[in-house]
Amino acid sequence: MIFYTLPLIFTLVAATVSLIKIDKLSQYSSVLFSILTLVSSIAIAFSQNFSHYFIYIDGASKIMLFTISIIYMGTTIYSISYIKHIHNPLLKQNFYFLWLNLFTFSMLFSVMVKNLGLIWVGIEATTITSALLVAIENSKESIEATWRYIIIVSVGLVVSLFGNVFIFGAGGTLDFVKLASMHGVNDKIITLGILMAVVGYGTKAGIFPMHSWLPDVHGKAPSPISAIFSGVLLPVALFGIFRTTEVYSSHIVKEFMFILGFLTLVTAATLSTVQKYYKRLYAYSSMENMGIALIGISLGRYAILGSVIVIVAHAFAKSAVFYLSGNILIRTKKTRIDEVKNLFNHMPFTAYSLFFASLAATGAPPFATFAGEILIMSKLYEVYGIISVVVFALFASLAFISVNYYTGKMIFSKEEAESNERHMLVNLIPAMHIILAFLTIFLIPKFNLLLAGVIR
Amino acid sequence: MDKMLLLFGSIEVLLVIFMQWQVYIKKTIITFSISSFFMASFLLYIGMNTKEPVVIYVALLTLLVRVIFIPYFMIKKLKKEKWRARETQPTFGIASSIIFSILSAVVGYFVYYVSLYDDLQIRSGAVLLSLMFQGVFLMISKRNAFTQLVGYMIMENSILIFGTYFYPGLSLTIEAGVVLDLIGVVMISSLIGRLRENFVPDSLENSEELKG
Repeated sequence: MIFYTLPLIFTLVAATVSLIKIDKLSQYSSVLFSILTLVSSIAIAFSQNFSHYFIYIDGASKIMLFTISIIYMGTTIYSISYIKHIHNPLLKQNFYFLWLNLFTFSMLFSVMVKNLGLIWVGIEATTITSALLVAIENSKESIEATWRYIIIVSVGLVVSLFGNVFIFGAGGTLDFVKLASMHGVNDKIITLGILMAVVGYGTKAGIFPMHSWLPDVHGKAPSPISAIFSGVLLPVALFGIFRTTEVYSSHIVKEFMFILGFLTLVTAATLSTVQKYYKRLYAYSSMENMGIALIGISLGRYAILGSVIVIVAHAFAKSAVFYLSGNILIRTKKTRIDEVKNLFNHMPFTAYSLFFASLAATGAPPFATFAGEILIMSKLYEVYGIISVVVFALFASLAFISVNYYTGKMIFSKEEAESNERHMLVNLIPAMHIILAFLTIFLIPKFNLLLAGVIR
Repeated sequence: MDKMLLLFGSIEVLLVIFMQWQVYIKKTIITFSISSFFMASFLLYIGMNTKEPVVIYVALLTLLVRVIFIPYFMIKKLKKEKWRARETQPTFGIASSIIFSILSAVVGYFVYYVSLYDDLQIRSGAVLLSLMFQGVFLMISKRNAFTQLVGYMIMENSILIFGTYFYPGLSLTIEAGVVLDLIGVVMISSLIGRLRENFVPDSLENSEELKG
């Protein structure tokens, strides 16, 4: 039992140490415990599935634990260099790491429990633990973005709480293992409950139409926080949808998720064409990927494997994109796309990395996101026919072109500049994540094995 | 019990309409406290009737958290900053707010009858859905951080009664929701809300970085 809860224990210990008001101690202990969290998550991934009291570890949990742990480690290391550049921060450094560790704890908790009520508690806790991290720059925009985040996401989660009430009403339990094996539940009530849960968790995952908080928060949060939000918080909310919808197979729910996923893809792709600020642009790209992942979950079978690949590869690629955005912001102090020019000469390492990270995040081959999207499209063809695949490909391409066009504009547009890039060890974090986004393709057989028995 | 739910639920709906036309934040908070008191009393009544210790526990927790602690915490914050004690920029005018609040209650009533009544067969359940819709509207119609928080907690109150009344076994999740409200949504939101209102609201309206 203790072995399987090690990731939770490590993050809690890191949070406790961060209470001590010594900046260096909170920084290094957070890095140390994030490494230990990653090691324990990898060990769990190679262990047997586990179920005891409220803890439940299956293949899907293992993949999420692994992904969260890597992004957590990268974010913790990157935060040490980034946080120095925040003038007038809302929190002292040790409190920044305290909330970051608690935030990770609540995400890990959400993917390790077998009760839908506890998943809700975990996801609600992510809002509380992350709110002050979003506001840390203490500017009027970041405070307003945080307020919108708290209010919109909390209301969404109230809807999913209502959904849980109905699911409990239909099945008499919130244990999703028991619910999944139950027969003769009230079809109408459980369907209504699941639909409400999808809307609620969808709010947190940036799914249309409750997505409006997402570009604001990603745009105004400090870059390491944007990275962990985009990389793993949105997928954790999607994981809540996955667990909830797995308890009862209903065509209405699947079609509802498919429509929401498609509308998310269409909205995000369209809005990404008119963005002026690069962090908002990447936020819409994250929204587009979550839409694609939701479509995959709604289609079932191997499309779920496709969604998992998209989620994992996107987590690595997009976190790299946000770390690199942080580098640009620190060096240039510019937030608008048209004000950032000639990164290629100005910050060559960042420019190269951003170029590849942007390609990886938007589904270019040979990165794993491409493989995930292919799997989803082939299932889409099987279920809804060729027209749906064409429309899907059209909007995915639109997002691909606009994100990479704007990124290319920042990298290659001409302006006299000398290199003023600082060569820091921390720059290896985004590079490592880009490589991981590629290497994920070799993990597909392992993911397939892990998901056997999870996908119904 | 059904009639009691109808009685308590109707009182809650009326109290939200009363909150809707308040411009003084303190009165809204006190009204919320009274509304939560009625809710705690009803939960206690259910607990006594069903002899479910968990429901009695939830009723006492509600009394402690929503009737006493949260309103006390909010009013204490208000005392420090008296200028914040009025709703200065509501999204809707008072008259239209009341009409929309009543309309949202009616919508909730019809949604219940269309979607849930056939399965639950309890007429008074409609009141709770009406209350939820009113909570949503209170949040939309006001801009003050505390009033929006009150709207949010009204939504949660409606779920608390709904869940406990229809499915008393679901107390664990609801309890967790109450505690999370206490530490999170109220305390952290109050901090963010206070910082937010330190900035001139008009300058936020024009902030291009939060558009598109």
